[in-house]
Amino acid sequence: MWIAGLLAEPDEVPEFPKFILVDGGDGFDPASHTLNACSQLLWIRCDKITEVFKAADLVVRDANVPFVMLDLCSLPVASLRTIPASSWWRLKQLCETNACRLIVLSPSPLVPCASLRLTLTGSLSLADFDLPRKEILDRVSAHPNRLRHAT
Amino acid sequence: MFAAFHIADLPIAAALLEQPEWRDAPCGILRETKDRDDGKIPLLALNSTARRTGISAGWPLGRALVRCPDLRILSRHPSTEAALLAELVTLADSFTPDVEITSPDTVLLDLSGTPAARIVMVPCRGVEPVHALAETPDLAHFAVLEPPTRGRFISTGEIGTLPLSLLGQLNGGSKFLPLLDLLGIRTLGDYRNLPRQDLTERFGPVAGHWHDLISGKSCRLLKLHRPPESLAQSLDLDDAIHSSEALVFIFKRLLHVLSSRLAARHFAASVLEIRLRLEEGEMWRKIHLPEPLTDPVSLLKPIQTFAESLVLPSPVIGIDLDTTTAFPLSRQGDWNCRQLPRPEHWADTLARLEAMLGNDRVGIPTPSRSHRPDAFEMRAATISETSLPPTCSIPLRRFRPPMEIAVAFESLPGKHPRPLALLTGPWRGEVLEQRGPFPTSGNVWEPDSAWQRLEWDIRVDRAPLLRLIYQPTDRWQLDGIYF
Repeated sequence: MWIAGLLAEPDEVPEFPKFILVDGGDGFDPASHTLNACSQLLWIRCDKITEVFKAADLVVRDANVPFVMLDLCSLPVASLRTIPASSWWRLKQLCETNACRLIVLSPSPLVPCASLRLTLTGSLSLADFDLPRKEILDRVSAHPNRLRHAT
Repeated sequence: MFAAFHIADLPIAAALLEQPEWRDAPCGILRETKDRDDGKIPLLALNSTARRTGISAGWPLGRALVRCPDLRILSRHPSTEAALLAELVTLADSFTPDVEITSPDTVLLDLSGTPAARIVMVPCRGVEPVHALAETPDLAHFAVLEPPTRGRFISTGEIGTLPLSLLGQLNGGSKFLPLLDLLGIRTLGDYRNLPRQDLTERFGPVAGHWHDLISGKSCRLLKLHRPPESLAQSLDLDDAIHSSEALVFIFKRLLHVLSSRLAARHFAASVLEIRLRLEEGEMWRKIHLPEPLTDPVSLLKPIQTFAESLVLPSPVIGIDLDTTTAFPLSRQGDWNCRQLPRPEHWADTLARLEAMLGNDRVGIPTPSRSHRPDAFEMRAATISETSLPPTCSIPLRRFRPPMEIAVAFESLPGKHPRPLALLTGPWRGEVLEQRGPFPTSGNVWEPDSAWQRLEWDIRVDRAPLLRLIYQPTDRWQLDGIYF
């Protein structure tokens, strides 16, 4: 839902992608979004956590599209726990150097050096399929979490 | 000095090339006209046999058939006409590069910069072209259109013997030619003898320009025809190459040559076309650059990425490098449209990602118009299509491939099965709520790619909303979660 909220339903097709989605579990479904919404997105389909980090490193260094989303929700939790904290710090420094925003979507708190951590909540029921997407998106709430990391 | 090369009666010559058996018969081609009265359609061109019967181009068909009952009407062959013109231009190019395509059957040559040479005409696909020489391009053009003045140099004085109707070849010529004819002016010489000032006052500045032209006082510049230049380079290797480093080294050399050639022409490369000739077969790759580039270092980067990701089935014995040119961008920040800040890096990054993840793993997703599940396309460039609504309001997070599970279901004869509980998989339990089934199928006319399935959106206790799939032959799958 978070990705759907970001993409929205624009009226025009942008000339270049606005966001980069590094899709860890290859779970993004283009059919769930409009053509114009999909046109805002450069979709990078990965299967392994190593591929995700390599791809993220490349696109952050490139810095042509300074909005990168890392979707790790579909990856096994065990593989997410193998990521050393230093990798996240390195990625954060790279983002700061290249003026890039990086959003990590994960099933549990994962990034030790996150500047902002939000928990997204929103319950869905079968009756929601009949509602317009905007109404469902309005129901998704984001709560800031307390950050606890060394500086 | 200027020369004119001309293929007389080009339409009929091209048509007779396609139908050579009618070469000796009187043949003609009709002018394309909207008039449906076939008898009044004028003739466009005739061959010499037809002309000997006394008819000429411009005659109505009905009148020509009265004079020449055996006249055969041929259809035009525009492709053959274009091929003949291309050969005429090639012939002209062998004398001088300064060539103008004046009309579909005539080219003008500027011979002032070339040493005097005897012009020998070579037949173009069996059709003999003719030529004429004169002091100005338009006089050469007039001279080559009339048989008596062909094949030699025509002085300005001799031009006066040619008919006045030749002025019809010039722009705006058809307006007052009939009036001049009524005044008894038959030849270019008659026209030239009239006072220029009076002609201009009577007929306007065009008439004065014509007077200058016939008198040889006006010599216009040719609109030069420049054939597309090729920047292709080809390299045959003495020793076959096995490694990507050696390949990159050779490409670097080729790119330096390409870069200097582009710079000399004030062009930039927008697409690089690479062909690797292998000992067994060949490989071909087209690299689209994000913006036109001339710098060899920037050009090398995508090639380097390509070479590093290359898996060669056999050693490389030759390399061909070609490029599509474009004008270099003079970039200035635009407030109104978004631009890539470092476009020269963009293609390189995409190429690296593709090399790492594989084809069709990086791109802009495009929902397919098909109802086939998980049908989409990946594209690299922008498109302008109408936006389709998504299939449902809650986005799906897919499992690729779908997760096979066991499901307890109720099966009634003549009805679709109804899921009752998920027995395996990460979310087990009773199906509390469900929407469906939604039967979909496609490609029923192709047995190999036909598909059929039933879909449900289901709610299971302590689980997100799920999409459940049933495929005939009792296969149950989880297609994804709504998240």
